[in-house]
Amino acid sequence: MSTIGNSVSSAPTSSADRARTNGRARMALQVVGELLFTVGVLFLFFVAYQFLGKPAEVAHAQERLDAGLEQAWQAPSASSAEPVTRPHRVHQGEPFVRLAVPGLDKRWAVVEGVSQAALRNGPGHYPGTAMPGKLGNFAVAGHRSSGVFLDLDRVSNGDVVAVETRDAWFTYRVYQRKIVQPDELGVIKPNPDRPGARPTRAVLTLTTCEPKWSSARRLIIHAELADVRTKH
Amino acid sequence: MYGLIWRSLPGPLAVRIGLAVVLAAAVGALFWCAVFPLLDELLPVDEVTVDH
Repeated sequence: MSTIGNSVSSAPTSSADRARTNGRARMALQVVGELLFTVGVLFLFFVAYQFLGKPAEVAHAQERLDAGLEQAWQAPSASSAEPVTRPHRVHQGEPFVRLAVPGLDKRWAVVEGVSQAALRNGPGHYPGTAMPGKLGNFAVAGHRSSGVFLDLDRVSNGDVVAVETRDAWFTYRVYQRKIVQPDELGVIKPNPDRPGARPTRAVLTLTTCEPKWSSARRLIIHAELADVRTKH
Repeated sequence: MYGLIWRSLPGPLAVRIGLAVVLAAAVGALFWCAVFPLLDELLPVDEVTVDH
């Protein structure tokens, strides 16, 4: 911009001369350039938010949910007299169990529901699918983002997935990892190995997107109940 | 645009630099804390559930 004030006499073809004659056009170009630069910086900033800001938000929400879970479990209630795996009524967005993948060194408070709002805070349980340890399919969805299911593709057969409820720990062992189309509802059916058939065992299913940061397909982890330990 | 903002900042160079940094930080914070979370909800990058 300082070149506009440069009145050094020079040849008519010099850049300073052209800048003077096309001052307005140059100004407009500069504004457009600065706007494009700003948009570019904001895009990069948004990417930084995806990698740093969002995981921090999830971590914060998880801390709050985990504390709420701990408080709810320690409070004496009628449900403590019920059988070990009997679920009490859980509302959408409320935390109700803990999920851990020791191989990834991760643990989450799982909320009820798989809406955008519910999944913002961490993994969510598909409503209507089985409760942990029960015959059928305990299905959980989570974002493929840092702090949630980013590294779920590193889970392999035989790995442990653990679920902690108010009254018990359930240990599942992974027996299948696969990639399916987004509309493949069979993977969360009570019997995911034979969708439509009656369940024959207690299964856990994790779903997330595949590949990372895409909605093209779904990464599915199936695990089978291997061990139950009651807390009391 | 940036030249205009820079020229409208008052005071000596040190004060102007300080003000520019504060301005940039304020705009950054606005995007980070308000605009990006909203944008992220409106433009879900990944869908993670199986459904119809």
